[in-house]
Amino acid sequence: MVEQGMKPIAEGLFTIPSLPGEQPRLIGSKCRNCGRVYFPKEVVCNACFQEDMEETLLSNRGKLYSFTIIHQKPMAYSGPMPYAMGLVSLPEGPTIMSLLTGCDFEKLELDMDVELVLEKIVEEDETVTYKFRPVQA
Amino acid sequence: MREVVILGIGMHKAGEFPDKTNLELGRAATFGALRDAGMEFKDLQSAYFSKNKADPTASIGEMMLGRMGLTGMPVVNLENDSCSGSSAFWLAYNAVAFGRYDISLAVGVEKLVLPPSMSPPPPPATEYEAALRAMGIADISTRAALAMRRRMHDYGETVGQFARVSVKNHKNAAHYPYAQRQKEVTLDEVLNSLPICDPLTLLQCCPPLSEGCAAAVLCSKDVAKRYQRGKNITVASAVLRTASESTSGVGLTAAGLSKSTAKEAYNIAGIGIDDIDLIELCDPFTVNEVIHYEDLGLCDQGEGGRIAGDGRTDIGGERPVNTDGGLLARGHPSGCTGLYQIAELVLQLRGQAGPRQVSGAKVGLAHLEGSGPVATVIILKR
Repeated sequence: MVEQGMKPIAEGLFTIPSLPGEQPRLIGSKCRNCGRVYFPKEVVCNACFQEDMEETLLSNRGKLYSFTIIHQKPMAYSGPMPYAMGLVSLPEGPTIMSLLTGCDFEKLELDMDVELVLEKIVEEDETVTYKFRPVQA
Repeated sequence: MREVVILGIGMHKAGEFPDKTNLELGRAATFGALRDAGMEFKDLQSAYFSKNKADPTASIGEMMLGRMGLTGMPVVNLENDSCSGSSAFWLAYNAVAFGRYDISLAVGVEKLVLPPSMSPPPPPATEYEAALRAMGIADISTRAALAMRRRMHDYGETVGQFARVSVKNHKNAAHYPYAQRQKEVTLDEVLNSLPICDPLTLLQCCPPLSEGCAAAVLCSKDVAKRYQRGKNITVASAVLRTASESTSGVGLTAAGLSKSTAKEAYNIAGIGIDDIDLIELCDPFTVNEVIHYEDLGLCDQGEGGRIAGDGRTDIGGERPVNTDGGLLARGHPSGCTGLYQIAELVLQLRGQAGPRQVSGAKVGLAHLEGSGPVATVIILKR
């Protein structure tokens, strides 16, 4: 649950729910000419070279295309170790690089259904980011 | 277009050389290439230098060449990630092939200012890129691990097949005096080395620190006759490409850009994979070698792991790959990797590769793919 005072890791990547029961969504852009969808937002469609993009909210559910457990700490990262990240395919087309949460590493499986949540990276910090977690059966 | 030959190659060993300057590395390779070509410095007509992205040296080519001789020739410096050295070669090739100059020099040099773990990261291209770094999911190694797991799922590949690539390439490098890692490793050592990001282990990654220098002298075929060496190698094609719409949608487990780049190189050379005797390809992680087997046409999509496992790409196998150890074991000083590949092909095609010699090698291919993405494929023949 997102609390007051939390700040997004970057502007324009996702919506922050303001009402109870509302789901967060990733913000993408869709080419009005060819229909291709991008995440994060792009100003030019690199498939048809048009600058005619509209903002679009992406599905908050996708499938886990692949995942890995990271054992060596990257320089700019200050969260817990080790941690899971994955590549999530969304129905609109884009695949999203994302941290994974709410799961035992052993229970992660390819092609499993995952859903978007907003969470902190580090407990002591107010910054929130998007993550995906397995959908509870 | 004119026929272009490689008259000479020169290398400094790849590795870590804290006591050497980039000028020392550069001189060793440049003078080595000139000696090999039977040429004097003043014969050079243009020069193309590549360096790694962390080296802030301004006009590194002019700085180096100015300490070897002052001739007024044009010098250009570039950075193109893993394709830096091959891009310098590509420019040198084009300069001669299209008739602007008769003799060109390509030099790649890599001198680390600080270990990558201590170097300040480059400015993020976007706010999203900065966010990925803070989330700890921006490292290139994670993409290799994601590709491994997906391929294991889709094609039934095993970690052992990936690890086998590392065993092969370390074995090859053990017989190459310019390689960074000259020690053989066992399958168990590879699998049980430090976990980086599961299932990727340390010995399935190229060395994190790598310095070195390699150079090549290119020359038009006609002018090459002045320097009779009796062992000239011809450039059959040199292609550099970046992503196009048709390759951008290809996922993690296949590299469409490398495939389209190779296709163009085969077309220009008028040959196919069956004509290639040996290959130097881009293996920063074991899985990349497996993927690029497919891109270059050694096998169909999904068969790369099996080929890695059955010895077909070993020296003595059907079509040896990375006979000098590849990025994994020869090392990957990204500023010059492409020119180490050229050097190895030239040695092999001349029959000078010693214990690594691929018998009867007539045609060789060098491939790299780097961030951008950018890819190069160069085909040489004797």
